[in-house]
Amino acid sequence: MPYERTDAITIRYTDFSETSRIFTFYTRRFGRVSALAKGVKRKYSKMIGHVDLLSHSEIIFTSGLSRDRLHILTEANAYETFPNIRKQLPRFYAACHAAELVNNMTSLDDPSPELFDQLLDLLRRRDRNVGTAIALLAFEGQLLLLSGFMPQLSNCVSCGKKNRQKTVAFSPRLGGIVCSKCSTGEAELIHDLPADALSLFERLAQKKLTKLSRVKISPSVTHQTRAFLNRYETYILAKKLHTAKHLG
Amino acid sequence: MVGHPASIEALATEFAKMPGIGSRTAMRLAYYVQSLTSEDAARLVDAIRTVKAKSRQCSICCNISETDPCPVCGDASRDRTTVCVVERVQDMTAIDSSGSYRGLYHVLGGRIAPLDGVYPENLNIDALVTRVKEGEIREIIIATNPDTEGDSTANLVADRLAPFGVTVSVLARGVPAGGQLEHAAKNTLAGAIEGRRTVKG
Repeated sequence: MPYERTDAITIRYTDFSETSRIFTFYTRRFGRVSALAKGVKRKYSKMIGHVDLLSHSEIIFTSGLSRDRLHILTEANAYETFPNIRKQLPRFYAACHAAELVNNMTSLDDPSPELFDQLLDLLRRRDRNVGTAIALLAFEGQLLLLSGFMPQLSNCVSCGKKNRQKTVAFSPRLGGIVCSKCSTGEAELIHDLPADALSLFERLAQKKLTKLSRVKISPSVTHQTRAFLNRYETYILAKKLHTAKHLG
Repeated sequence: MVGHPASIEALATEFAKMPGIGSRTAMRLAYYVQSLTSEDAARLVDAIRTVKAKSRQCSICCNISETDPCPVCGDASRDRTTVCVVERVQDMTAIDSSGSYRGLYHVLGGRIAPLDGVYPENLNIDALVTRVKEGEIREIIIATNPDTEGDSTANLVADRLAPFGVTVSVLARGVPAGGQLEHAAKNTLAGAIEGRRTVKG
């Protein structure tokens, strides 16, 4: 049975039995994978502490042959456990939101080393408390871009006309902003979104702002962008994410 | 196609709602119940009814008990100035069985787990703050599980109790007795180094 070795970030776990857990990792080489860690809850497990939620580890697993592609985790070695993320709830909530998004927006065995690096970068920023308010928005933008769900935020998604208004309406169904003419009859619109906040979000997603720590963003713009993202993510995933509740 | 009898299906559906029980295990349990004698089945039904009728949450520590206050809170021989904060009732039982702790407890009813939709407002943290405000408690020992979610919960509890001047500590952590250093995670070893103690010569 072939063994695979890769860098991984633990994005979810569920108890499987008294002593075993199923972990979901986002890995550099294989994308999202699920693996059964037998006996990991035992007192003397060699993997204990190496596969904590949100930790960055090297994992070794045997490829699962079943239809649900559940692998068997055979070894884990933690590189980074991000202890400071645990010290403040807003950091912890943001990191969990990123993990839940990756778990829901990526497919099994569909690797994206770029997304892996973005997630790792976000965890490191949250751990060091650098660019905290904006780092999550930037990550979400890059995730939407890489997964093909990035909305059209500069031009009307329906007629292509460039937006020149200060506030715009957004259609989750069409995946972009809509001008006043095209919005007639469109249901589930998000109204009065500030165009400058959407423009900033678009630039974050396209990595046009390299020094995140230098980007200044007002709490009201963060709040409005957050509300828009929560509604858009709920629409494209067809479910409410648990972690969207307490994001600042 | 031959199916299961409706009564068996209905019982299996109820078993499948329990934690860790899948549909096959649920069906196996349902057939097991069917195979019981009438007396054994009646005892099982009675046991479930009794649990629901008699057990309740202790109004002081949130433990599950048949009396209010629970036997631990009602035990006058315990140290009433120290409270050990645990995630679940099972953790309280484990700590008490060690025999090295004779104070009181507070059961949070879980830990902060955003990925499962569990937030501070879902835990019994306010009840703990109310107990501490009353003034008798001098020390809080936080005994949440030593992982990401347990540590986040411990930090929040410590923050909430900071204004009240009580001593707040967490359980020592490190390499388990009988474990091996080479397999310990970095944070486990870091905890062991930080919490080292002097050995008398």
